[in-house]
Amino acid sequence: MNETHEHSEVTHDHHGGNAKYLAVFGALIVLTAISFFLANSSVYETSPQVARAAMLAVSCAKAMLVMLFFMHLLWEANWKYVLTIPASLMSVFLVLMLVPDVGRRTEKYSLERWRHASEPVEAHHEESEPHAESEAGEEEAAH
Amino acid sequence: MATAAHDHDHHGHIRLEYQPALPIPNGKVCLWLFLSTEIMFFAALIGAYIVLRFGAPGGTWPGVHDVHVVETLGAINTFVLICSSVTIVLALEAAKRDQTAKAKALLFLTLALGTLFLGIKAVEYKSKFDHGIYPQYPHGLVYDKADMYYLQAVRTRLQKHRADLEKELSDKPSESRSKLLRERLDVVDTLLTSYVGWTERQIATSDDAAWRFAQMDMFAFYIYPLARNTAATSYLKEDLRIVKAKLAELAPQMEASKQQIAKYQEQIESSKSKVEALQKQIDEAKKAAGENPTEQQQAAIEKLEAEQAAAAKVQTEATAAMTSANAALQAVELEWKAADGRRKLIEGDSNSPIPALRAIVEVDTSGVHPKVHGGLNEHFSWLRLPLHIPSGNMWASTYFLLTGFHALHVAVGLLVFVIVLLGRPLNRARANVVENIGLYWHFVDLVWIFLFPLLYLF
Repeated sequence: MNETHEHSEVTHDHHGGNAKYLAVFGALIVLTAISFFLANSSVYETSPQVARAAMLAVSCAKAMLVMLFFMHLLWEANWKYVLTIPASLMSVFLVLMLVPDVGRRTEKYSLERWRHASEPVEAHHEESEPHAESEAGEEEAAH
Repeated sequence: MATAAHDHDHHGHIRLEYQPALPIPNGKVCLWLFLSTEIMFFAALIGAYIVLRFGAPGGTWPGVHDVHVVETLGAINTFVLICSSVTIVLALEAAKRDQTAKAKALLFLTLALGTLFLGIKAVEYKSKFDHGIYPQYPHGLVYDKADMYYLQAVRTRLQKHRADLEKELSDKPSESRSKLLRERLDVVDTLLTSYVGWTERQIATSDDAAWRFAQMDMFAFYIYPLARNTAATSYLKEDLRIVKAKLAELAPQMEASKQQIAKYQEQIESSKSKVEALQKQIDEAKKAAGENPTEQQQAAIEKLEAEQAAAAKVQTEATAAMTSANAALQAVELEWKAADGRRKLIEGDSNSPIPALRAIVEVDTSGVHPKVHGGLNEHFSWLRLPLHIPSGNMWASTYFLLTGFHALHVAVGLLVFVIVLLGRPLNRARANVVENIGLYWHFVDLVWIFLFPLLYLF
């Protein structure tokens, strides 16, 4: 363990290296361009979910490149797993725990709650939802 | 290392062997521990954003152009941060090789790029603030729903403008200033009657719920157009049709009641002259009869007096009828004026201070994200009327929170760069400092890598 540490000071040339960094830089630019064009392409128009998933995948790839090369994690000892994996798992759980109560909150909205929610425009004209009527009633009451 | 130190001390009844916990310097351990908490911090923020965004009532989340997010600026900022990541990693390499001048130059370049990032960010924030989108209520003009509360907020705002303009006018400002103020007052008055007043009347009197909603949509659209509300342009056509039908219906009514009034006028005139003529006859008859009229003369006078009374009655009745006809005409004229004001607002008119509603909004649905701009708020930037953006307040909260915390991290990084640059030369001994600030900076870049698609491209 001690040896790897001391070596990293002296023999840094066999990892990293400016050429490698510039290659990563190029890859990051290309990946950014990919997500930019994805967002403005017909893919986004026809199936936005696919485009969004692809953009997130591109972001993950970019994040991996930055972490592995710029943050030198590729050449670090096994301690890197101790610090990064639990934190990442925690963040994934954190997001998942928000889903039932916050992410899916509108699925259980009461009529009363819908009255104060911002609604899609279509709901007014196309759906014959109870909340559309209740809003009409509200407006009549306001007069 | 530690064992060697213990060899020298001669208290050594217990011989301890120290192993560093991790094969890296303590500073780096601390920084990585800090970064692992930062991962959770930003994951919570980003996760909250994702959940709030996709959990927002179906289809309400504002499109990027609805809230003045420019993808190109985001892409440029991404590029700037990637460049700064490269410069700082090259600075570390230079420091490891004892190339102190090069390391310093590269770190300075990183500082400059980070500052550029914040500058672009500031420009982006300003474009939001200029349109009344703030992260909190006291300044924000954003309304989630176009309902009666929104309508009344617009009315209140216009009335406040009116009061302020009149107050300033009463203070006798300069010639050019008072001309400007009067122009603005004209705009405010037109909007109050033909825009707010008209919509209020439509909502109060229409039996058709869909039409009431369409009126509200249209009302909000021409203040601050949203891509999702482009249907409002078709409502405007329908509105113009209805207004024109109303005008066509009111015109003959107005003509008829004017004729009626003229007829009453004629009656009044004729009965008046009749009353006068009869009075003359009565006077003459009384004169001829003298003090003691004969029975025949008396009867003739009474007959004349009866005729006069009848004519007077006709006159009174015609006058009353004319008064009520006048009131009715005034009511119809008022209605006609309101409808004509609305027509002028939609079609535009040389006398109207406001250009045609249709002309102030530009709709471009050619791209993937439809672009709509213009509207009363953009045309008259001093108006700053409340805006309708569905889920707009939630959007503002998440956008400013995420980008704000990220910008704060960038600012802290820049501060540290300055401190390091002002310190001792960046030689091999200080390479670990450069490495640590580099790790922090890469993490900031990492966060932006996720923020960019989420906030600008989704």
